[in-house]
Amino acid sequence: VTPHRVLERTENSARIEIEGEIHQLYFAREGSAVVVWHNGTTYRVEGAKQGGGPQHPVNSTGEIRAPMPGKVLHLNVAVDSVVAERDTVVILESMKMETSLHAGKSGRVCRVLVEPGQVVEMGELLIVIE
Amino acid sequence: MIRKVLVANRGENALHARSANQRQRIESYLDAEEIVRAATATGADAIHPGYGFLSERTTLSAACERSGIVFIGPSTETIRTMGDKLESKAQMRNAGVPITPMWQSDPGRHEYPLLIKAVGGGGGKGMRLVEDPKNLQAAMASASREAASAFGDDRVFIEKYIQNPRHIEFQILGDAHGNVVHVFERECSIQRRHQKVIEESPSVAMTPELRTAMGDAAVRAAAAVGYRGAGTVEFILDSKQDFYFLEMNTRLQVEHPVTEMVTGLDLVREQIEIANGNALQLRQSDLRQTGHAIECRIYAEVPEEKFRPATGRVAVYRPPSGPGVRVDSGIDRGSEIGIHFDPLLAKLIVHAPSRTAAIERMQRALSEFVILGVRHNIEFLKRVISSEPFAAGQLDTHFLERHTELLNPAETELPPVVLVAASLAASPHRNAPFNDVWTTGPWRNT
Repeated sequence: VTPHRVLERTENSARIEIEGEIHQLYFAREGSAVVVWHNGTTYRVEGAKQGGGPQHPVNSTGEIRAPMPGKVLHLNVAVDSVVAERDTVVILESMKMETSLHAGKSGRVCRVLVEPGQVVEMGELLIVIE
Repeated sequence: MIRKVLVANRGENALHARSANQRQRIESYLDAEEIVRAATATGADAIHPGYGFLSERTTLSAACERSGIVFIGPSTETIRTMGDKLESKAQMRNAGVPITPMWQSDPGRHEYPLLIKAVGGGGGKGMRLVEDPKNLQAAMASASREAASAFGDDRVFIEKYIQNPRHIEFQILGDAHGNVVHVFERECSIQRRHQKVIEESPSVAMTPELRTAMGDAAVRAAAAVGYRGAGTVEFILDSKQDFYFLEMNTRLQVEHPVTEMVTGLDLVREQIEIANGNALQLRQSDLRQTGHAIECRIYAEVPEEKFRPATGRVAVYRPPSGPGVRVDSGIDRGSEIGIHFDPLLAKLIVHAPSRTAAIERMQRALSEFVILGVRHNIEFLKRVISSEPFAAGQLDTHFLERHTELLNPAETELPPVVLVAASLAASPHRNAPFNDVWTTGPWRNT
């Protein structure tokens, strides 16, 4: 880390002196990342987890997970339903926008972990296809 | 005489309500009867619906009419007519307003490509582009199913597809005495998911002749339905400068501040005056557009991930300020951005003497806007505003689909001071005693 002095620190801001210049910064955690505003730009610094890329989970394993927090609007399948790859299996609603989730592979639905109306977190497991 | 207004809305929509004398908690913004009961309970004599929620449904205006409360907006009959795409287009054709050619069944190969649209609503739902006649039937069936589930109305119709149009809309004001004026155009061509992202006035596509022609058409459209209040007549403009009526929004719009900035009008005040039964004091010949205004919508979303909505808790909120800068927002530090409402965090509007100066002012204002704790589109908006095609005014509704290079940030190295701040952020604030050394040290008073 570059030599520096922290001149002032609050929960979400700091004044830092580095290489003879004084900088005002604001920062916060956003999930696994830290966001930092400095001199007109917001930077996203990902934590140990590999970041930057799309966070839509790849579901070729047969696990359908929520790509964002939201509400389950509609389930197109039940346990024992047979689905083909690319079939729409769940419709999520988040912030007045609908998102269709598709089967990543064909097979039989062996687990349905949610029901319509249920609020789910980002990354939550919704459906498993064998 | 209206003395007390219930604002049936939330967020930046209900900005004036921040200093409200009374707030009424309600179960749902979508229950018209409950909103009218809330108005009665608080002694309000009028309801302002804002936009979204019930502003364009007839249930609220009808419930107001039944209970003797003034609905700040047009009549139930006007809302109903304009909400029905087939009926509104028929009315517009009769009033001499240009509409896109439309059909109920296959018009023949030479008219392709075609656009299927839902009678009952917009926002891209129940909409399909059909380029090959053999796909028409299947597309109509699927659009119809989607329309039924979205609007409770499965009717669809076929329209000529206008290639790469600009979205140009005219703000109008009509009073209860038959006076209608237009308050110039807004260009809203920068869209994603059929939703506007950046709006401006004037439009670079406009000539004085075209403005007169489109403005006159907007006034005819409003007059044809006896429009009372503030409304917006939306058009699409093709590359040959031909324009077509798209729809009329029977309410104040998200982007109305752009018009307020270039005209100096307070559109909400005009709405209330009109609802009070007063005659418009504005004559068309008195109205002027001065300078240039641009609005950016700050959304809680991730542009680089197909604009997916984002949620979180606002940890830092520092809006920009300065001459010609306006921020309409309902959020603050600590606000929870949840999944149940739309992702609009704030509207940033700038005004300057020219478009170039407005772009520069917007770049500065976006840079100064700090929102941390929930992901948003500010960096994306900076890229769009600063881009060559935007500066050149080469806009159409497919701008963002064509300029995909604007979706992703350029790879940049993190400045050393940012890495320092990131490590500070990752360490808990409370047990960092060495900070106290510095805050009480010699640097404290510099």
